[in-house]
Amino acid sequence: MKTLVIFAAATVVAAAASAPTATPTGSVAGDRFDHATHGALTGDCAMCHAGITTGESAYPEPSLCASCHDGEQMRTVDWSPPTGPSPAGLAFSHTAHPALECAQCHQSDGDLVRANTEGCLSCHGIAEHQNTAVSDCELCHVQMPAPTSHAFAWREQHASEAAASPAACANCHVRADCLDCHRPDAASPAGGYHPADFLAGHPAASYNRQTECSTCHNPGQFCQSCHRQAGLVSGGKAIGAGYHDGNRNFISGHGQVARQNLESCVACHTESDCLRCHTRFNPHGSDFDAETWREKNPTVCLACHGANIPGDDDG
Amino acid sequence: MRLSVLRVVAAIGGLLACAAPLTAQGYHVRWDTWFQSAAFRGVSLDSVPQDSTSLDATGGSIWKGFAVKCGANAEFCTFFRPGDERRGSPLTSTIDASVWGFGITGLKLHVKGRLSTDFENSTLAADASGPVWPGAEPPVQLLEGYAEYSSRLLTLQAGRTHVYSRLGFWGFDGAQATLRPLGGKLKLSGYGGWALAEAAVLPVNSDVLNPLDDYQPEDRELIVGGTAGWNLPAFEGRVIYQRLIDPDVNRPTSDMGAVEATMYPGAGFSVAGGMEYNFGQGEVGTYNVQLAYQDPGNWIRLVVGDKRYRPNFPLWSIWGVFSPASYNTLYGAIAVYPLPGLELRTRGETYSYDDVEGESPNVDAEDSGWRGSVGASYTGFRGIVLDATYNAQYGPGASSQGLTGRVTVEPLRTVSITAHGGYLERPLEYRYGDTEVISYGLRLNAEPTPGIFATLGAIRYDETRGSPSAEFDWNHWRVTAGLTLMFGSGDNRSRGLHPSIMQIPETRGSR
Repeated sequence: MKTLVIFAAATVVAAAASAPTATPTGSVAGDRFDHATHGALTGDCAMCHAGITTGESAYPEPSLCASCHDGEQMRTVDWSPPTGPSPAGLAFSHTAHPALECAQCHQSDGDLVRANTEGCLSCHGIAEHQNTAVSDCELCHVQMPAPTSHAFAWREQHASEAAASPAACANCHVRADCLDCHRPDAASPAGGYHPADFLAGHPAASYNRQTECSTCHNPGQFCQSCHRQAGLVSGGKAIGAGYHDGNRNFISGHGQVARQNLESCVACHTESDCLRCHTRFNPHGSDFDAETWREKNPTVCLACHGANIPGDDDG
Repeated sequence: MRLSVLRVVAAIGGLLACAAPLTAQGYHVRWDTWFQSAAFRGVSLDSVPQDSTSLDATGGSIWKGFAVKCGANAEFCTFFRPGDERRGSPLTSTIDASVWGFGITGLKLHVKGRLSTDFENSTLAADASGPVWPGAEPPVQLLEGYAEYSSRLLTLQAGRTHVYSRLGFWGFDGAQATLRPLGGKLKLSGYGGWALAEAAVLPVNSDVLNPLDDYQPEDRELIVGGTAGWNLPAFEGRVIYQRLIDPDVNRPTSDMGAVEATMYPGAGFSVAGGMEYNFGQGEVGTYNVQLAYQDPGNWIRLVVGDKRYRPNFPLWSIWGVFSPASYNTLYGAIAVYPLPGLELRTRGETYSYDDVEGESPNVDAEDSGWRGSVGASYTGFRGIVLDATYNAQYGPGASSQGLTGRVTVEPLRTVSITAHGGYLERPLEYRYGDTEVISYGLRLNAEPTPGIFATLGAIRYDETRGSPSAEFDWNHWRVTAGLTLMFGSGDNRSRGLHPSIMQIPETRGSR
């Protein structure tokens, strides 16, 4: 409930802080210039962008703006043509495409857009983004630094945006990039997704859920097999032998620790380790929904309850 | 299973071999080969006679500084001493290939397969033999292999592929279809097939995924799922459903649904959130909300968020019945870009666990913690990248703090050299003795000719552990070598792109 309240509040705050939005058909995402209003006045793109296909200038002179925004007819504006790389990030030359109509690239379903790259692909003979080398990407895309959205723990938080808008990722990434991390190979060098000294620090990171390990590492194939080589697994043979020697009574009071960090426990312990005692001691918490579980898949109930599953009339 | 994988690889390899001679076909191949040699030292169970142990100040038994476990009236006490050094030397070779141009625009074949081995075999007892390094089995791995038809309205895939959503990144052998009606504003997808296990390219009943000989389903799971999404200029929303089924008992082993939405109210703000529901266990799963602000001038980015993480175990294992506690976190981050190429960043997070109803006077466990980091990157010098980050976290069971940094220099356009180092402290609450690690290394990346990329790297780890483990040598080296080849149809530079693209003036200039 707290999260829902924060969600609602954050939405209200964000909406309140936002500037008045232009009509969708007239604004280009990220631009403050109202193309809808000015387009209606000037009639066509060439009024301001006439030199774009000849290489003279992509933008009008500021004096053109001042012809209306002179402080009397309209408020003055402080504007100068933008410099630097293309905001669309494309290595595109308007001078090499003099025959194209503006709308072929800059209109999509009636909306004005920065660049509709589907048009490029249909003419230039490639059906998709399937070249994986950085140098290949630079054939079409200006090499730009990673977007600022990628700051912080972006790699840990990118899931929803990647799933919702894969086309946005495809501006720089190919599908194979996903598998590099999500299905890492055994010889991947240190210092990739994790820092180079992560092996020594991974207990804290996994224990306190700095990352969700099982998104990329199968607990059996990766965690258990390596812990087995390191002698860290119980395997049902060494329970109570004293591995958790920081607390000598650990086994008799492990309940809280286990419920908080069960995903770490299972990296070394098997189900049979726990069932040695927990067939006699109830492991369920107060929020355990036995009825739903039993209806969905009662096979796991058999491990402790045998054929006499509580509440199962057929049992 | 091994045989079927080989068949798929052979079939797609045959297609690739036949592809080149056909008119108007295109193809692209990326071939990565990696090798590394890395050492680590684990622990080894040992025992000593009880009469040789003594009591320390806390009343616990010790032997030569090691904490030992003595059962009531037991003749021997047990403890874990440092184990032998183990060295893994895995070699992997991965081919990623796409073929298109079969006379149908939008049709392609894609395969990604991997050969894997470890030159070091385990020296453990026979019941624990196998490769030392994790993930080196099985020797032949098919990550993806599918045929795809894609148009503006529709994408169809059949073969081994993946789906990804907030429910995870799942692989399967089957088919998926995505429809994008209303100009892409609506997106509907459905998929189904034989599932691969979580984070693996093997089915859930594979022996490789069960190194401890634990309980495991006998049959491979089936997977079905679908999504419905809306992509509007200021709003994206999705409903997701996915079920995995054990065909042996015809019961679900996972039954999950989710909703999520992202809103862009304007002025650089975005609000994103979502919630999962576990139909299999009748409970709300993980949910989160995040507010982000990115200045249109790209000089500042702010993020605040709240997340409740609920561990999710499959219904075929018993782990879920232990009622694992939810984990609640509140975080915030800020990055500023005061100068071109300079990023200053910091992040903070606090977290706590739900009441677990399992407290015991015997173990004084904490139920909350925090973590934070501060760092900076600078790319303003031509051909030089500087980066440094300090991290610290304190919480139940484990804590750590450390500093990492790197300097990358590009003396040539095709060569980069990176020097990196780090310092880490890692105390563990439930283990006796702390750890300090200093790491430092070099990495060389080069592109000697277009389409060939080579990497060489070495890292030294100097590790110190608390007494009495300090008497053992924990230091080790880790070396890496990699080679990537890329080639495709067309000339060397275009790699399948239409010749007209090569006439773009800026493209020539940027090369």
